[in-house]
Amino acid sequence: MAEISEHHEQIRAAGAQVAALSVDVPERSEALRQRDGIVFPLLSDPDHHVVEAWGLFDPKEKGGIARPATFVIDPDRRIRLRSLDGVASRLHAADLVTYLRASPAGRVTAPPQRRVLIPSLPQMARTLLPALRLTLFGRPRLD
Amino acid sequence: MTRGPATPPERSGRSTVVDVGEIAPDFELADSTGARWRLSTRLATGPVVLVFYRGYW
Repeated sequence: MAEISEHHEQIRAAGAQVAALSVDVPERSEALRQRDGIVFPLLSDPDHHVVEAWGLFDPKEKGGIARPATFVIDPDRRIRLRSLDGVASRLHAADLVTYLRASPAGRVTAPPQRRVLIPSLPQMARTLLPALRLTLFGRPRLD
Repeated sequence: MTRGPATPPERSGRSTVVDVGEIAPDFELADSTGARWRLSTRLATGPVVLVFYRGYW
């Protein structure tokens, strides 16, 4: 959210407008807006009707909240881009700006890459195994 | 213990997330200042980036 906020000018310059949505009541959203200096609307869906209609309601967390996700919606109301922003990977605001600049409304292009924040297991194995082998077998003999 | 009325089915909306190429479900909500915000109205002036977030924490 803070990241989107920082890139808001660039998103506007690319011809798009931003709104963010949560199940928080307006007072709570307003506190967040003021704390973080957010300049786009924070929409309130306390009954989570909209969150449910979009298929993003997670009833198991904190009494029911929205799963984080980012959409780009074209003027004909068609979804052009969807990013389900998990813990391991999410869409970065800078990549979103690049995407919006590269693909004007109505033209579907390849979606931007989501950046992986947590390396995959094979990735970790590739990095760690040689080091481990070195530690276990590569030590100079002391005798 | 008396058995109460059957629990109403849990209202959990659609089971799949709205996807690329679909028509976005329209909605109108209040923003944090109380102003009404309607998706279809806003789309008249250009594409919309809509961010769903977990809430204030």
